[in-house]
Amino acid sequence: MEVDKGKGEAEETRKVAEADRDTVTLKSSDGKLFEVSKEAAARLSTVLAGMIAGGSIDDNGTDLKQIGSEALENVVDYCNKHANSIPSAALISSSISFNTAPFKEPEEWERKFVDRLSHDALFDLVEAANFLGMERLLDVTCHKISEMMKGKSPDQIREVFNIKNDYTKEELEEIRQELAWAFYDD
Amino acid sequence: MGSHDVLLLLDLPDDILELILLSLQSPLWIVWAASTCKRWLRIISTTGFTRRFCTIHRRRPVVACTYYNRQGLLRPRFETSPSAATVAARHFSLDFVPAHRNECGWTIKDSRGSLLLLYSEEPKSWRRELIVCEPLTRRHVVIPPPKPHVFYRSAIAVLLAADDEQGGGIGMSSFRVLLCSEQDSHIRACMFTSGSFYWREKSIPTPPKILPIGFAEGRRYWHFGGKTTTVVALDQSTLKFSSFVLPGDNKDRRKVILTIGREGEVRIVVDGHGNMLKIFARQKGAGGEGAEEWALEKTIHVSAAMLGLPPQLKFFDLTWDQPEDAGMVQIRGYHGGASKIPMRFHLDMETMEVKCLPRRDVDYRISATAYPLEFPWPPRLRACTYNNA
Repeated sequence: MEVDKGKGEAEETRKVAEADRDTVTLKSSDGKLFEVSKEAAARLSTVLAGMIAGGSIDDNGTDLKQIGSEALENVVDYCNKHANSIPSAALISSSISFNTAPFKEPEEWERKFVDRLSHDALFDLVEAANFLGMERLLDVTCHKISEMMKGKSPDQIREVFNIKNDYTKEELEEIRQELAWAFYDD
Repeated sequence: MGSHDVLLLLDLPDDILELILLSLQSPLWIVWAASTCKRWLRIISTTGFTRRFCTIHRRRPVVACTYYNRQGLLRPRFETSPSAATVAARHFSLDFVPAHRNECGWTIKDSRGSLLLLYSEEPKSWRRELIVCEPLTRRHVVIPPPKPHVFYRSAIAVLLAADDEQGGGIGMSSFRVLLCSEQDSHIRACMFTSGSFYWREKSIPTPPKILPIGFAEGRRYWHFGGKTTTVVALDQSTLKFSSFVLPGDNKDRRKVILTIGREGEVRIVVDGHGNMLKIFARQKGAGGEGAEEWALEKTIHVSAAMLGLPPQLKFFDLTWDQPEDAGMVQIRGYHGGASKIPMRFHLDMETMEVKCLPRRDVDYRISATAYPLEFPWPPRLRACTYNNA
């Protein structure tokens, strides 16, 4: 009896401790577990915020079947880095432009964060950010992809992103005539 | 998900592709993206996309080329920007604008977006012409003269987007031209909208010696007066005039300028004797419908604010060009002695902190106004889009 009672108490305290925990555990499609700051997760992801508020977070690891371990690791890494980053001075001083700007330029650490990713990892992260409703991460990753397109000719863009040209010769000619200024002369 | 053999950008849903395309800063790059495949052209051609890009683009416009007027009958010259490095110079040339037999040259009056406003005027023959053109698409439209005539050379002429309030773009089929002139003790404002044939007009009676102050927050300001200062304001979008008197005795005013406060609201600064700046702010909600009231918000003794600074300057005045930094006024200070080179300062209207600006090595004799030109937005992308509808 005494042993049982002790067990029950232990169970009770464990539950309380977990409700008060400041991290949540997420589980990738391939079963790997990741811990992330509860505060950062709730702030950065509308989906995770909803799950935390709704109590549907599983202490043994909340299943995120749509996200692979590599992408989830990056998501968690981003959340933790975000939680530790100090907002830049520019952000504090120019509160006017911050409130009205539709998109804020990535900060230095965010740039570095996406720069080190392989193309595959970047695309997986875009999808994960979209799935988890992480607006800021989505902006930062999309910005990175757009950087890969900037200044590239249509042919170069098709090559980088493996896009099939589905225009007919006549259609392309029509575009080139309408927007003669935008294309090389030769 | 998982590993890709190739970059499967096209696996992403439309709304994410749109986010990626919105991050492309230059309309030139958007055009290149649109000509890679039909799906991107379709995304880029939607009204939602062109509007959203317009909003972003307005905050960070990409200047493609800058035009400068030249003396005499020479056509304006231009310098292309690095952002237009791949665009051949001939696309910016104004050689498509009709030349006149009597060799009357064209002068740029204003630029906005991808458009230029040009006039040609010959006072002797009363022949004057006003056109709006888009160099990159080599199109122009002649604007009929307002009746009675306005001297284009001396008038304030402004190019505006057709629906400025909604944040739409400016283009050959969506622009307005505003002309402000002082005639017969009136300020006369005429507005021409693309696609129409006549000018909308408003005027307000004023004494003959009225001086323009400048433009801020969609309104143009003038001032006149003896002992008191009367200010006339014209709302550029609604063409509505209002006038009000600045409180107090402003008899010794030397200069009246506009600047922007911390919260982005307009301030009128009057520079008086004794290095005193009077800062006026509009009273919210005061005066009832139609009337507006301005109050003295602060008086700054410039010499007191300057005390801590090393160079002992004796004379100060406001500069005509004011900083775009909210909450600041720009001041010039002179030594009393031989040195005639002024030093420039930014004075924070709230904290009274003064910051000395680096000396500019600008030759003030060459004061050619720069007219920046942007790439057309939205671009004409009619090709193929009807096949995808």
